[in-house]
Amino acid sequence: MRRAVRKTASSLGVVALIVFGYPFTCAAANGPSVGAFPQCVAVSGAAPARTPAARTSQVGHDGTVDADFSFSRTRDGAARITLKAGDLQMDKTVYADGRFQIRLVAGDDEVSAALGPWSLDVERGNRQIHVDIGQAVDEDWLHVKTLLAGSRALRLFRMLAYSLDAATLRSPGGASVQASDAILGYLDGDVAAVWRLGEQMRAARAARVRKASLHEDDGPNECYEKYEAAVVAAANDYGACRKTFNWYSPWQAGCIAVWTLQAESAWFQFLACSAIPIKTE
Amino acid sequence: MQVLWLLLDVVIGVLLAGVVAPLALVMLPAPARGNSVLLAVAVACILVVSLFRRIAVGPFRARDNK
Repeated sequence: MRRAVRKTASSLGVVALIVFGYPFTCAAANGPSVGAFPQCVAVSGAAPARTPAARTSQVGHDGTVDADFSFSRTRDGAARITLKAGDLQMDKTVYADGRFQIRLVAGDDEVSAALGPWSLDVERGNRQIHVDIGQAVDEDWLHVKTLLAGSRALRLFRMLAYSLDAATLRSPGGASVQASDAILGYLDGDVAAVWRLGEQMRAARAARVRKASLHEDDGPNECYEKYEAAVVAAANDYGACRKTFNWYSPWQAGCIAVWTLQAESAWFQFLACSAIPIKTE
Repeated sequence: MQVLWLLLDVVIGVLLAGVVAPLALVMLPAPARGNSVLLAVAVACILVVSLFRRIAVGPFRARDNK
């Protein structure tokens, strides 16, 4: 009986050893020999699902400022941009709902900011400021500006953002740096920084927009409506002119002449408005 | 030469349309007014001018110059 129990226990031990040790056999099955181990195929096939896009990253380099960019996605779906240029390091994470965190390091100086739809947290060294954006008053923004004043990391970052190559600005990393520069510039007291960036983007887009039709801004019947308004105004003028003179006065012909001129003027303006221009700027 | 006559018809017709078009708009009910009325008036005026010119001056023929 004791022998049977010992035999059973040893059998269970072997089975347990095989079960627990089974996946680790894949360690010896890297590369082309994976196919010889079915369990390794299963494990290696499942591997990308466990680490979806967290490891994939794009790298870039800006030769003008000698900066290295890295753009990747974190496991929770956020976009992460890192930058290293000389003494400056930037680490920025942007979440799907618009929140972002940015950390700038230059030597001993370290600045970080976390901005959400309703709150802002700025930290520099061991000092930290929290701002409720909906209830913020001027003093709160002045405190943030005071905290950021004299930051070497921020100054280096803004200089770098200003000096980036045009090709870099079109990349995700460059665009992120530019947006961060505008927001941090706003916090640093440059209150028009965000507006300037918006204007730059609007101008860049507007340059690529071609109007599909003429006078689209005022509607498709803009020419006719202007003509109609001019004709009605001419008719009102004629009515007023007729009342100015007696019905037998020869000046009545002048009223008709004025109306004719006004009507012809409106007509030719309508023709010019409706015409397709041969040459456009 | 015939082309110049046609051009003259068009110019005078367009000028005439500038006077007739406001009157046509006044006479028509509001829903009927629009760009198409102006176009119709312009074409009609050009045709009328061309017709009356042929009646008044006579159709131009190249042989007449000889």
